[in-house]
Amino acid sequence: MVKVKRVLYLIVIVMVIFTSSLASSKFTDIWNTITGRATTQNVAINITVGNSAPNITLITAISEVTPIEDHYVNVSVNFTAIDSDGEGNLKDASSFINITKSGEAVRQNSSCLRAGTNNATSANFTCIVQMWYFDSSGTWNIGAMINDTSNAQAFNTTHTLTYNQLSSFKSSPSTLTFPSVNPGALNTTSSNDPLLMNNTGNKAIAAGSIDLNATHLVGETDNTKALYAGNFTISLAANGGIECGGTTTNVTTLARAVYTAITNSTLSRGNHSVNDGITGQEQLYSCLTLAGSELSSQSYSTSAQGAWTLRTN
Amino acid sequence: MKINKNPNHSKLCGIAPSLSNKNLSIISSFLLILLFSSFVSSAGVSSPYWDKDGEGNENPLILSPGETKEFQFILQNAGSDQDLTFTASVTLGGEIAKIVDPEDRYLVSSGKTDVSVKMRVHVPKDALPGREYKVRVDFLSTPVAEPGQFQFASGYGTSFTVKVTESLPKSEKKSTSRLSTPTILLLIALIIILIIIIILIKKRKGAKAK
Repeated sequence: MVKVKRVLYLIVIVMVIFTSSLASSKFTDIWNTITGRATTQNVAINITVGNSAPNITLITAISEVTPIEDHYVNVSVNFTAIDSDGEGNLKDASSFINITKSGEAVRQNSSCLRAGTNNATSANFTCIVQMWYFDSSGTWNIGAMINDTSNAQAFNTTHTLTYNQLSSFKSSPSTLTFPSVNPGALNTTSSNDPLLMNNTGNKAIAAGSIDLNATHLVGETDNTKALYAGNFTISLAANGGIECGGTTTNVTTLARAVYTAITNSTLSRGNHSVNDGITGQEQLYSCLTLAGSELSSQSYSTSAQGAWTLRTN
Repeated sequence: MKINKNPNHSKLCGIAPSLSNKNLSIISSFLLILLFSSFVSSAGVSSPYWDKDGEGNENPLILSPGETKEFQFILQNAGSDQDLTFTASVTLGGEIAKIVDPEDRYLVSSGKTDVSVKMRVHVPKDALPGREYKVRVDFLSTPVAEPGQFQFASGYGTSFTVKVTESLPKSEKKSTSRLSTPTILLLIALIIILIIIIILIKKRKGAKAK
Protein backbone atom coordinates (compact mmCIF):
# COMPACT_ATOMS: atom_id res chain seq x y z
CA MET A 1 0.00 0.00 0.00
CA VAL A 2 2.83 2.34 0.85
CA LYS A 3 4.50 1.47 -2.42
CA VAL A 4 1.36 2.33 -4.34
CA LYS A 5 1.12 5.70 -2.67
CA ARG A 6 4.76 6.41 -3.43
CA VAL A 7 4.23 5.61 -7.10
CA LEU A 8 1.16 7.86 -7.23
CA TYR A 9 3.09 10.71 -5.63
CA LEU A 10 5.87 10.18 -8.14
CA ILE A 11 3.40 10.38 -11.01
CA VAL A 12 1.91 13.61 -9.69
CA ILE A 13 5.39 15.18 -9.35
CA VAL A 14 6.34 14.09 -12.88
CA MET A 15 3.12 15.59 -14.25
CA VAL A 16 3.69 18.89 -12.47
CA ILE A 17 7.25 19.18 -13.82
CA PHE A 18 6.20 18.06 -17.27
CA THR A 19 3.30 20.47 -17.60
CA SER A 20 5.36 23.33 -16.19
CA SER A 21 7.84 22.83 -19.05
CA LEU A 22 5.00 23.50 -21.50
CA ALA A 23 4.34 26.88 -19.96
CA SER A 24 6.14 29.98 -21.14
CA SER A 25 8.02 30.47 -17.89
CA LYS A 26 10.55 28.14 -16.37
CA PHE A 27 10.06 26.09 -13.26
CA THR A 28 12.86 28.02 -11.54
CA ASP A 29 11.25 31.35 -12.31
CA ILE A 30 9.48 31.32 -8.96
CA TRP A 31 12.77 32.58 -7.39
CA ASN A 32 12.84 35.50 -9.79
CA THR A 33 9.44 36.91 -8.92
CA ILE A 34 8.23 39.21 -6.18
CA THR A 35 6.50 37.25 -3.52
CA GLY A 36 4.73 38.07 -0.33
CA ARG A 37 1.59 39.88 0.49
CA ALA A 38 0.89 43.04 -1.44
CA THR A 39 0.62 46.32 0.37
CA THR A 40 -2.73 48.05 0.20
CA GLN A 41 -2.80 51.27 -1.81
CA ASN A 42 -5.35 53.31 -3.80
CA VAL A 43 -4.31 53.84 -7.40
CA ALA A 44 -6.12 55.94 -9.98
CA ILE A 45 -6.05 54.16 -13.31
CA ASN A 46 -6.79 55.98 -16.59
CA ILE A 47 -7.00 53.62 -19.52
CA THR A 48 -7.30 54.85 -23.12
CA VAL A 49 -8.24 52.11 -25.52
CA GLY A 50 -6.18 52.66 -28.74
CA ASN A 51 -7.27 52.07 -32.31
CA SER A 52 -6.51 48.66 -33.73
CA ALA A 53 -5.16 48.67 -37.28
CA PRO A 54 -7.16 46.64 -39.77
CA ASN A 55 -5.82 43.48 -41.29
CA ILE A 56 -6.21 41.93 -44.76
CA THR A 57 -6.41 38.21 -44.20
CA LEU A 58 -7.39 36.73 -47.52
CA ILE A 59 -6.86 37.60 -51.17
CA THR A 60 -8.50 35.54 -53.87
CA ALA A 61 -7.72 36.08 -57.53
CA ILE A 62 -7.41 33.91 -60.58
CA SER A 63 -3.87 32.52 -60.63
CA GLU A 64 -3.50 32.58 -64.41
CA VAL A 65 -4.71 35.38 -66.66
CA THR A 66 -4.95 35.20 -70.45
CA PRO A 67 -4.49 38.53 -72.23
CA ILE A 68 -6.99 39.56 -74.90
CA GLU A 69 -5.47 40.67 -78.17
CA ASP A 70 -5.46 44.39 -78.85
CA HIS A 71 -7.55 44.99 -75.74
CA TYR A 72 -7.53 44.79 -71.98
CA VAL A 73 -8.72 42.01 -69.73
CA ASN A 74 -10.58 42.63 -66.49
CA VAL A 75 -8.87 40.90 -63.57
CA SER A 76 -11.14 40.46 -60.56
CA VAL A 77 -9.48 40.45 -57.13
CA ASN A 78 -11.35 39.83 -53.87
CA PHE A 79 -10.01 40.38 -50.39
CA THR A 80 -11.22 40.10 -46.82
CA ALA A 81 -10.44 42.87 -44.33
CA ILE A 82 -10.79 42.52 -40.56
CA ASP A 83 -10.93 45.31 -38.03
CA SER A 84 -11.28 44.36 -34.38
CA ASP A 85 -12.88 47.77 -33.78
CA GLY A 86 -15.74 46.71 -36.01
CA GLU A 87 -16.28 46.34 -39.73
CA GLY A 88 -17.84 49.79 -39.78
CA ASN A 89 -14.41 51.13 -38.95
CA LEU A 90 -13.13 50.07 -42.38
CA LYS A 91 -12.97 52.97 -44.79
CA ASP A 92 -14.44 51.52 -48.01
CA ALA A 93 -13.28 54.43 -50.16
CA SER A 94 -9.65 53.63 -49.33
CA SER A 95 -9.81 50.03 -50.53
CA PHE A 96 -7.24 49.59 -53.24
CA ILE A 97 -5.63 46.93 -55.40
CA ASN A 98 -2.50 47.20 -57.48
CA ILE A 99 -0.88 44.61 -59.73
CA THR A 100 2.79 45.23 -60.32
CA LYS A 101 5.81 43.83 -62.09
CA SER A 102 9.27 45.32 -62.20
CA GLY A 103 9.71 47.59 -65.21
CA GLU A 104 6.01 47.62 -66.04
CA ALA A 105 3.29 50.21 -65.63
CA VAL A 106 1.31 49.72 -62.42
CA ARG A 107 -2.18 48.35 -62.99
CA GLN A 108 -4.50 49.41 -60.20
CA ASN A 109 -7.99 50.19 -59.04
CA SER A 110 -8.63 52.60 -56.21
CA SER A 111 -12.38 52.32 -56.20
CA CYS A 112 -13.07 48.81 -55.02
CA LEU A 113 -16.53 47.84 -53.89
CA ARG A 114 -17.64 46.25 -50.64
CA ALA A 115 -18.98 42.88 -51.68
CA GLY A 116 -20.48 42.06 -48.30
CA THR A 117 -20.05 41.92 -44.56
CA ASN A 118 -19.03 38.62 -42.99
CA ASN A 119 -19.56 39.44 -39.31
CA ALA A 120 -19.13 42.29 -36.84
CA THR A 121 -15.45 42.72 -37.64
CA SER A 122 -14.94 41.46 -41.18
CA ALA A 123 -15.95 42.49 -44.70
CA ASN A 124 -15.20 41.42 -48.28
CA PHE A 125 -14.12 43.74 -51.08
CA THR A 126 -14.01 43.24 -54.86
CA CYS A 127 -11.78 45.12 -57.30
CA ILE A 128 -11.55 44.99 -61.07
CA VAL A 129 -8.13 45.79 -62.50
CA GLN A 130 -7.52 46.20 -66.22
CA MET A 131 -4.45 44.52 -67.67
CA TRP A 132 -3.48 45.40 -71.23
CA TYR A 133 -2.50 43.23 -74.16
CA PHE A 134 1.04 44.66 -74.11
CA ASP A 135 1.66 44.05 -70.40
CA SER A 136 4.60 41.73 -69.92
CA SER A 137 4.00 38.02 -69.53
CA GLY A 138 5.15 36.38 -66.30
CA THR A 139 4.55 36.74 -62.58
CA TRP A 140 2.83 39.88 -61.29
CA ASN A 141 2.42 40.80 -57.60
CA ILE A 142 -0.99 41.62 -56.19
CA GLY A 143 -1.14 44.25 -53.46
CA ALA A 144 -4.33 44.86 -51.46
CA MET A 145 -4.76 47.86 -49.16
CA ILE A 146 -7.40 49.42 -46.95
CA ASN A 147 -7.46 52.08 -44.22
CA ASP A 148 -9.65 52.35 -41.18
CA THR A 149 -11.36 55.56 -40.14
CA SER A 150 -8.25 56.52 -38.16
CA ASN A 151 -6.18 56.03 -41.30
CA ALA A 152 -4.36 53.03 -39.90
CA GLN A 153 -3.46 50.95 -42.92
CA ALA A 154 -3.59 47.28 -43.80
CA PHE A 155 -1.48 46.06 -46.70
CA ASN A 156 -1.19 42.53 -48.03
CA THR A 157 1.18 41.50 -50.82
CA THR A 158 1.18 37.75 -50.41
CA HIS A 159 -0.49 36.90 -53.71
CA THR A 160 0.75 36.71 -57.29
CA LEU A 161 -0.75 35.90 -60.66
CA THR A 162 0.75 34.67 -63.93
CA TYR A 163 0.01 36.75 -66.99
CA ASN A 164 0.23 34.39 -69.94
CA GLN A 165 2.01 35.02 -73.19
CA LEU A 166 -0.05 36.13 -76.18
CA SER A 167 1.40 35.78 -79.66
CA SER A 168 -0.73 37.98 -81.84
CA PHE A 169 -0.56 40.58 -84.59
CA LYS A 170 -2.73 42.57 -86.94
CA SER A 171 -1.72 43.30 -90.53
CA SER A 172 -3.09 45.95 -92.84
CA PRO A 173 -3.96 47.34 -95.37
CA SER A 174 -6.45 44.83 -96.59
CA THR A 175 -5.13 45.09 -100.14
CA LEU A 176 -1.69 45.48 -101.66
CA THR A 177 -1.62 47.05 -105.07
CA PHE A 178 1.00 47.22 -107.81
CA PRO A 179 0.51 49.71 -110.63
CA SER A 180 1.15 49.17 -114.33
CA VAL A 181 2.86 45.84 -114.53
CA ASN A 182 3.79 44.88 -118.07
CA PRO A 183 5.38 41.63 -119.23
CA GLY A 184 9.09 41.85 -118.70
CA ALA A 185 8.77 44.74 -116.23
CA LEU A 186 11.54 45.11 -113.67
CA ASN A 187 11.40 46.37 -110.09
CA THR A 188 7.77 47.33 -109.74
CA THR A 189 7.11 48.57 -106.23
CA SER A 190 3.80 48.36 -104.46
CA SER A 191 1.79 51.54 -104.62
CA ASN A 192 0.14 51.28 -101.21
CA ASP A 193 2.69 49.67 -98.94
CA PRO A 194 3.94 49.39 -96.28
CA LEU A 195 2.17 46.34 -95.05
CA LEU A 196 1.87 47.45 -91.45
CA MET A 197 2.11 44.85 -88.70
CA ASN A 198 0.84 45.81 -85.26
CA ASN A 199 1.78 43.67 -82.28
CA THR A 200 -1.57 43.02 -80.59
CA GLY A 201 -0.11 40.66 -78.00
CA ASN A 202 2.65 40.72 -75.40
CA LYS A 203 5.25 38.57 -77.11
CA ALA A 204 8.22 40.58 -78.28
CA ILE A 205 9.31 39.26 -81.66
CA ALA A 206 13.08 39.17 -81.93
CA ALA A 207 15.02 40.37 -84.98
CA GLY A 208 14.58 38.07 -87.95
CA SER A 209 11.69 36.19 -86.32
CA ILE A 210 9.05 37.34 -88.80
CA ASP A 211 8.95 35.13 -91.85
CA LEU A 212 6.89 34.79 -94.98
CA ASN A 213 5.93 31.67 -96.89
CA ALA A 214 5.21 32.63 -100.50
CA THR A 215 3.70 30.74 -103.40
CA HIS A 216 3.65 31.32 -107.14
CA LEU A 217 0.71 33.41 -108.31
CA VAL A 218 -0.65 31.18 -111.04
CA GLY A 219 -2.72 32.37 -114.00
CA GLU A 220 -6.41 31.64 -113.52
CA THR A 221 -7.09 31.24 -117.23
CA ASP A 222 -3.74 29.89 -118.38
CA ASN A 223 -2.17 28.05 -115.47
CA THR A 224 1.10 27.51 -117.33
CA LYS A 225 2.02 31.10 -116.57
CA ALA A 226 2.79 32.53 -113.17
CA LEU A 227 4.32 35.35 -111.22
CA TYR A 228 7.06 33.53 -109.40
CA ALA A 229 7.48 33.77 -105.65
CA GLY A 230 11.23 34.18 -106.11
CA ASN A 231 10.62 37.41 -108.01
CA PHE A 232 9.15 39.16 -104.98
CA THR A 233 11.24 40.93 -102.37
CA ILE A 234 10.37 42.34 -98.97
CA SER A 235 12.19 45.17 -97.27
CA LEU A 236 11.90 47.21 -94.10
CA ALA A 237 12.41 50.45 -95.95
CA ALA A 238 11.45 52.07 -99.22
CA ASN A 239 13.25 54.90 -100.85
CA GLY A 240 13.79 55.09 -104.58
CA GLY A 241 13.14 51.41 -105.03
CA ILE A 242 15.64 50.09 -102.46
CA GLU A 243 13.03 47.53 -101.48
CA CYS A 244 13.84 45.84 -104.78
CA GLY A 245 17.50 45.35 -103.89
CA GLY A 246 20.37 47.64 -104.68
CA THR A 247 22.45 49.07 -101.89
CA THR A 248 20.38 48.13 -98.87
CA THR A 249 21.09 44.89 -97.06
CA ASN A 250 17.62 44.69 -95.54
CA VAL A 251 16.04 43.12 -98.59
CA THR A 252 14.71 39.60 -98.47
CA THR A 253 14.03 37.61 -101.60
CA LEU A 254 11.12 35.24 -101.12
CA ALA A 255 11.01 31.61 -102.11
CA ARG A 256 8.15 29.27 -102.91
CA ALA A 257 6.61 27.12 -100.17
CA VAL A 258 9.24 27.80 -97.53
CA TYR A 259 9.29 30.26 -94.67
CA THR A 260 11.85 32.93 -95.46
CA ALA A 261 12.92 35.07 -92.52
CA ILE A 262 12.54 38.75 -93.27
CA THR A 263 15.96 40.18 -92.55
CA ASN A 264 16.14 42.32 -89.40
CA SER A 265 12.37 42.45 -88.99
CA THR A 266 11.18 42.85 -85.40
CA LEU A 267 7.90 43.42 -83.64
CA SER A 268 8.47 44.94 -80.25
CA ARG A 269 6.03 44.65 -77.36
CA GLY A 270 4.19 47.86 -76.69
CA ASN A 271 1.17 50.03 -77.19
CA HIS A 272 1.02 50.16 -80.98
CA SER A 273 -1.57 52.94 -80.89
CA VAL A 274 1.36 55.31 -80.32
CA ASN A 275 1.72 54.73 -84.07
CA ASP A 276 5.36 55.82 -84.33
CA GLY A 277 6.33 52.98 -86.63
CA ILE A 278 8.47 51.42 -83.91
CA THR A 279 6.48 50.74 -80.75
CA GLY A 280 4.75 47.44 -81.38
CA GLN A 281 4.97 47.98 -85.12
CA GLU A 282 6.85 46.76 -88.18
CA GLN A 283 6.54 48.00 -91.75
CA LEU A 284 7.11 45.78 -94.75
CA TYR A 285 7.64 47.07 -98.28
CA SER A 286 7.23 44.83 -101.29
CA CYS A 287 8.59 44.74 -104.79
CA LEU A 288 8.01 42.59 -107.86
CA THR A 289 11.53 42.47 -109.27
CA LEU A 290 10.55 40.73 -112.48
CA ALA A 291 7.32 40.09 -114.33
CA GLY A 292 8.18 37.44 -116.89
CA SER A 293 8.02 38.49 -120.52
CA GLU A 294 6.00 35.37 -121.28
CA LEU A 295 3.07 36.50 -119.13
CA SER A 296 -0.32 36.98 -120.67
CA SER A 297 -3.10 39.35 -119.72
CA GLN A 298 -5.13 37.42 -117.17
CA SER A 299 -5.75 37.18 -113.45
CA TYR A 300 -3.03 35.66 -111.26
CA SER A 301 -3.91 34.40 -107.82
CA THR A 302 -2.98 32.18 -104.89
CA SER A 303 -5.89 29.86 -105.63
CA ALA A 304 -3.70 27.17 -107.19
CA GLN A 305 -0.81 27.06 -104.74
CA GLY A 306 -2.30 28.43 -101.55
CA ALA A 307 -2.12 31.59 -99.51
CA TRP A 308 1.00 33.45 -98.56
CA THR A 309 1.58 33.11 -94.84
CA LEU A 310 3.04 35.83 -92.68
CA ARG A 311 4.28 34.31 -89.42
CA THR A 312 5.81 35.44 -86.15
CA ASN A 313 8.06 33.13 -84.15
CA MET B 1 -4.32 40.54 -110.24
CA LYS B 2 -4.19 41.23 -113.97
CA ILE B 3 -1.32 41.67 -116.35
CA ASN B 4 -1.50 43.79 -119.49
CA LYS B 5 -0.14 41.73 -122.32
CA ASN B 6 0.40 44.64 -124.64
CA PRO B 7 2.36 47.56 -123.21
CA ASN B 8 1.36 49.67 -126.21
CA HIS B 9 -2.32 48.98 -125.68
CA SER B 10 -3.01 52.55 -124.62
CA LYS B 11 -1.52 54.02 -127.81
CA LEU B 12 -3.71 51.80 -129.97
CA CYS B 13 -6.90 52.89 -128.28
CA GLY B 14 -6.53 56.63 -128.65
CA ILE B 15 -9.03 58.54 -130.80
CA ALA B 16 -9.26 62.14 -129.65
CA PRO B 17 -5.86 62.97 -128.11
CA SER B 18 -7.00 64.99 -125.13
CA LEU B 19 -9.85 62.68 -124.18
CA SER B 20 -8.17 59.48 -125.22
CA ASN B 21 -5.14 60.12 -123.01
CA LYS B 22 -7.37 60.49 -120.01
CA ASN B 23 -9.46 57.45 -120.88
CA LEU B 24 -6.43 55.37 -121.68
CA SER B 25 -4.86 56.33 -118.46
CA ILE B 26 -7.93 55.05 -116.62
CA ILE B 27 -8.07 51.93 -118.75
CA SER B 28 -4.39 51.35 -118.25
CA SER B 29 -4.65 51.72 -114.49
CA PHE B 30 -7.62 49.39 -114.38
CA LEU B 31 -5.99 46.73 -116.44
CA LEU B 32 -2.51 46.91 -115.09
CA ILE B 33 -3.12 47.19 -111.41
CA LEU B 34 -2.12 44.18 -109.34
CA LEU B 35 -4.68 43.75 -106.67
CA PHE B 36 -3.71 41.74 -103.64
CA SER B 37 -7.06 40.94 -102.12
CA SER B 38 -6.39 40.20 -98.53
CA PHE B 39 -8.18 40.85 -95.27
CA VAL B 40 -7.54 42.68 -92.05
CA SER B 41 -6.04 39.92 -90.02
CA SER B 42 -5.93 40.17 -86.27
CA ALA B 43 -5.74 36.97 -84.37
CA GLY B 44 -3.53 35.31 -81.83
CA VAL B 45 -2.64 32.41 -79.59
CA SER B 46 -2.11 32.52 -75.85
CA SER B 47 0.08 30.04 -74.03
CA PRO B 48 0.70 29.37 -70.32
CA TYR B 49 4.31 28.32 -71.04
CA TRP B 50 6.78 30.04 -73.30
CA ASP B 51 10.38 30.24 -74.37
CA LYS B 52 12.56 33.29 -74.20
CA ASP B 53 11.02 35.98 -76.37
CA GLY B 54 12.70 39.08 -77.77
CA GLU B 55 13.02 40.39 -74.20
CA GLY B 56 14.44 37.20 -72.67
CA ASN B 57 11.17 36.49 -70.87
CA GLU B 58 10.40 32.77 -70.35
CA ASN B 59 8.17 30.38 -68.43
CA PRO B 60 9.18 26.71 -68.81
CA LEU B 61 7.02 23.71 -67.97
CA ILE B 62 8.67 21.76 -65.14
CA LEU B 63 7.83 18.07 -64.83
CA SER B 64 9.23 14.99 -63.09
CA PRO B 65 10.10 11.76 -64.93
CA GLY B 66 6.88 9.89 -65.73
CA GLU B 67 4.70 12.93 -65.06
CA THR B 68 1.95 14.07 -67.44
CA LYS B 69 0.55 17.57 -67.75
CA GLU B 70 -2.44 18.79 -69.72
CA PHE B 71 -3.00 22.45 -70.48
CA GLN B 72 -4.65 24.66 -73.06
CA PHE B 73 -3.65 27.14 -75.70
CA ILE B 74 -6.28 29.81 -76.27
CA LEU B 75 -7.11 30.95 -79.81
CA GLN B 76 -8.41 34.47 -80.32
CA ASN B 77 -9.99 36.36 -83.19
CA ALA B 78 -10.87 39.67 -81.63
CA GLY B 79 -9.93 42.03 -84.41
CA SER B 80 -10.62 40.29 -87.71
CA ASP B 81 -13.67 41.12 -89.70
CA GLN B 82 -14.06 37.49 -90.74
CA ASP B 83 -14.30 34.10 -89.11
CA LEU B 84 -11.02 32.22 -89.11
CA THR B 85 -10.05 28.60 -89.27
CA PHE B 86 -6.97 27.66 -87.27
CA THR B 87 -4.86 24.59 -87.71
CA ALA B 88 -2.37 23.50 -85.08
CA SER B 89 0.65 21.28 -85.57
CA VAL B 90 3.42 20.18 -83.24
CA THR B 91 6.58 20.85 -85.22
CA LEU B 92 9.11 20.14 -82.46
CA GLY B 93 9.00 17.85 -79.42
CA GLY B 94 6.37 15.52 -80.84
CA GLU B 95 7.89 12.64 -78.84
CA ILE B 96 6.53 14.11 -75.59
CA ALA B 97 3.82 16.56 -76.66
CA LYS B 98 0.65 16.12 -78.64
CA ILE B 99 -2.61 17.88 -79.26
CA VAL B 100 -5.39 15.73 -77.88
CA ASP B 101 -8.47 17.36 -79.39
CA PRO B 102 -10.42 15.09 -81.76
CA GLU B 103 -10.43 17.72 -84.53
CA ASP B 104 -7.31 19.32 -85.94
CA ARG B 105 -9.14 22.41 -87.25
CA TYR B 106 -10.61 25.08 -85.02
CA LEU B 107 -13.24 27.54 -86.14
CA VAL B 108 -12.79 30.86 -84.35
CA SER B 109 -15.63 33.24 -85.12
CA SER B 110 -14.99 36.95 -85.35
CA GLY B 111 -14.92 38.38 -81.83
CA LYS B 112 -14.22 35.08 -80.06
CA THR B 113 -11.27 35.01 -77.66
CA ASP B 114 -11.67 31.70 -75.85
CA VAL B 115 -11.33 28.76 -78.20
CA SER B 116 -9.11 26.21 -76.49
CA VAL B 117 -6.60 23.76 -77.92
CA LYS B 118 -5.77 21.00 -75.47
CA MET B 119 -2.19 19.76 -75.29
CA ARG B 120 -0.80 16.82 -73.32
CA VAL B 121 2.86 16.61 -72.38
CA HIS B 122 4.26 13.37 -70.98
CA VAL B 123 7.84 13.02 -69.79
CA PRO B 124 9.16 9.43 -70.07
CA LYS B 125 9.90 7.60 -66.82
CA ASP B 126 13.51 7.13 -67.83
CA ALA B 127 14.13 10.81 -68.62
CA LEU B 128 17.10 12.07 -66.66
CA PRO B 129 16.64 15.04 -64.33
CA GLY B 130 18.14 18.13 -65.91
CA ARG B 131 17.11 17.13 -69.41
CA GLU B 132 15.29 19.74 -71.45
CA TYR B 133 12.84 19.15 -74.29
CA LYS B 134 11.94 21.86 -76.77
CA VAL B 135 8.32 21.91 -77.91
CA ARG B 136 7.06 24.06 -80.74
CA VAL B 137 3.49 24.38 -81.98
CA ASP B 138 2.64 26.28 -85.15
CA PHE B 139 -0.81 27.76 -85.49
CA LEU B 140 -2.03 28.88 -88.88
CA SER B 141 -5.12 30.98 -89.43
CA THR B 142 -6.90 31.42 -92.73
CA PRO B 143 -10.16 33.18 -93.47
CA VAL B 144 -13.23 31.00 -93.80
CA ALA B 145 -14.68 33.19 -96.54
CA GLU B 146 -14.12 32.46 -100.24
CA PRO B 147 -10.49 33.03 -101.13
CA GLY B 148 -9.76 36.27 -102.94
CA GLN B 149 -7.31 36.80 -105.73
CA PHE B 150 -4.42 36.96 -103.34
CA GLN B 151 -4.91 35.39 -99.99
CA PHE B 152 -2.81 36.07 -96.94
CA ALA B 153 -2.77 33.73 -93.96
CA SER B 154 -1.24 34.41 -90.56
CA GLY B 155 1.00 32.09 -88.61
CA TYR B 156 1.87 32.11 -84.93
CA GLY B 157 4.76 30.02 -83.74
CA THR B 158 4.77 29.25 -80.03
CA SER B 159 7.50 27.32 -78.30
CA PHE B 160 8.34 26.35 -74.75
CA THR B 161 10.85 24.24 -72.86
CA VAL B 162 9.99 21.22 -70.76
CA LYS B 163 12.51 20.88 -67.94
CA VAL B 164 12.82 17.54 -66.18
CA THR B 165 13.38 17.72 -62.44
CA GLU B 166 13.85 15.05 -59.79
CA SER B 167 10.75 13.73 -58.08
CA LEU B 168 10.40 14.93 -54.51
CA PRO B 169 11.42 12.17 -52.07
CA LYS B 170 8.60 11.03 -49.82
CA SER B 171 10.40 12.36 -46.76
CA GLU B 172 10.40 15.85 -48.27
CA LYS B 173 6.70 15.82 -48.95
CA LYS B 174 4.74 18.07 -46.70
CA SER B 175 3.44 16.48 -43.54
CA THR B 176 -0.29 16.31 -43.35
CA SER B 177 -0.34 16.04 -39.54
CA ARG B 178 -1.91 18.99 -37.82
CA LEU B 179 -0.78 18.12 -34.26
CA SER B 180 2.20 19.99 -32.86
CA THR B 181 5.08 18.17 -31.14
CA PRO B 182 4.27 19.35 -27.56
CA THR B 183 0.68 18.22 -27.96
CA ILE B 184 1.78 14.78 -29.13
CA LEU B 185 4.21 14.47 -26.16
CA LEU B 186 1.49 15.47 -23.74
CA LEU B 187 -0.91 12.92 -25.19
CA ILE B 188 1.73 10.16 -24.92
CA ALA B 189 2.47 11.11 -21.29
CA LEU B 190 -1.21 11.10 -20.40
CA ILE B 191 -1.71 7.69 -21.99
CA ILE B 192 1.28 6.25 -20.06
CA ILE B 193 0.01 7.71 -16.78
CA LEU B 194 -3.46 6.33 -17.44
CA ILE B 195 -2.02 2.87 -18.09
CA ILE B 196 0.02 3.02 -14.84
CA ILE B 197 -3.02 4.12 -12.84
CA ILE B 198 -5.12 1.28 -14.29
CA ILE B 199 -2.38 -1.24 -13.42
CA LEU B 200 -2.09 0.13 -9.88
CA ILE B 201 -5.85 0.04 -9.34
CA LYS B 202 -5.96 -3.54 -10.55
CA LYS B 203 -3.11 -4.50 -8.19
CA ARG B 204 -4.87 -2.81 -5.29
CA LYS B 205 -8.09 -4.68 -6.03
CA GLY B 206 -6.11 -7.90 -6.25
CA ALA B 207 -4.47 -7.22 -2.90
CA LYS B 208 -7.86 -6.50 -1.26
CA ALA B 209 -9.29 -9.69 -2.67
CA LYS B 210 -6.45 -11.68 -1.05
